Amino acid sequence: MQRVQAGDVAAFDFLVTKYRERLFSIVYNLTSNREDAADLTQEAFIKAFSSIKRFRGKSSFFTWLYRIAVNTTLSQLKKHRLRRFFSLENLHEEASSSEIVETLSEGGKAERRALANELQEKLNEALQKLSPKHRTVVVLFEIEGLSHQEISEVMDCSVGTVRSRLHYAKQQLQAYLQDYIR
Amino acid sequence: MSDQKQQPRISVEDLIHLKRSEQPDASFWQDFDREFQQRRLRLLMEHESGDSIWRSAWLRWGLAGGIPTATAAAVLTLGLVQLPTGGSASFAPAGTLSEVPTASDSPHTELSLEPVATTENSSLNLTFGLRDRPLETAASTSSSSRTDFVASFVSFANDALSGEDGNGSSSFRKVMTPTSLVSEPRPAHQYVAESLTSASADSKAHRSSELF
Repeated sequence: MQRVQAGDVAAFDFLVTKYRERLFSIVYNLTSNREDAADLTQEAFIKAFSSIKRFRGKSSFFTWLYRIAVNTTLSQLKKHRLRRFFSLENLHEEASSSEIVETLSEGGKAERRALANELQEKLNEALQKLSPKHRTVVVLFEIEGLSHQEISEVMDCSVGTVRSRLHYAKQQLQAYLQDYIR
Repeated sequence: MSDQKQQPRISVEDLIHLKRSEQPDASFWQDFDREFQQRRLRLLMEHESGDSIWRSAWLRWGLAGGIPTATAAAVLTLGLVQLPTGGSASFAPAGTLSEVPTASDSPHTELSLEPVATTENSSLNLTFGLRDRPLETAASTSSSSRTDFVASFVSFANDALSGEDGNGSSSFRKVMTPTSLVSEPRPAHQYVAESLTSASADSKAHRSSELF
């Protein structure tokens, strides 16, 4: 970190390589568009690179980086500058062979694959129906695996607020996805 | 019934976890890295050249006469803004138009960017520029109307912008030259502050007594 703050570009490249997947995943799940997500992830890294000297180490670097990415994305979502259609990543093979898909589908491999794709689309639709803040909490907690405390630092709100948003968001998702819940 | 017991329960959390398997492939990250390097390089280049570009642009603008041009524009704007639309407005205590001094009346004292106007019987006279040395606009008391003021000021500005007044020197520079100013020039913020307080009746009376 000291090297990065001293202006070492190679050291920053190391941080980019280390965090790009996780950062992209957050932004992608918030936008459901891979092109927007790539653009916003790069923008977040550029912002971090520009203001790295202002990072004082009060929080961990990844929390600081997540905050930049989340704020950048929420700002763009608020301005409605992002694409309104889905551009989804391919599901890995393991998704169609997961226990959930096998439970939902009694057919063969092709049917399971089709069901996995359908489920992917429904999940993204359901997430996009949530407000950006509720969506962010769900993404950070359920997909990225952050703790309530970490989410509260990223979103600059109390832990109670995080819990409340998470509870409400799950209720909403449950209603949207009730056909798939057993 | 027994089948239902054997089937694992699917919760909303389980469904959301499926999204973890939405991952881009390796070629995506190659493009990502390339684009990011380009963006960062552009940022670094802008950062490196930003200061010197602004400095040289400012210098070029100043040498090309940008400062007198901007001053003329500001003075014109200030004059139009403060120009009353009706005949009842008055910037200074009412007086006869003949009391307005001409260029030969008094010694030059200080620069004033504020308009000083008197209205009488819906006619308007406005001095603008050097206090106690009104410009040509103010001297033309017979045709003291808003149109005349604008026309003469535009003429004055054109002379100033063209840089020549027939004698081979800038008329704008000639008016603004320090030799025509007896007192010390004041900073711009002081002029702005004085312009803002020109609405005060006390200051109007004070200036009026100085002027006349």
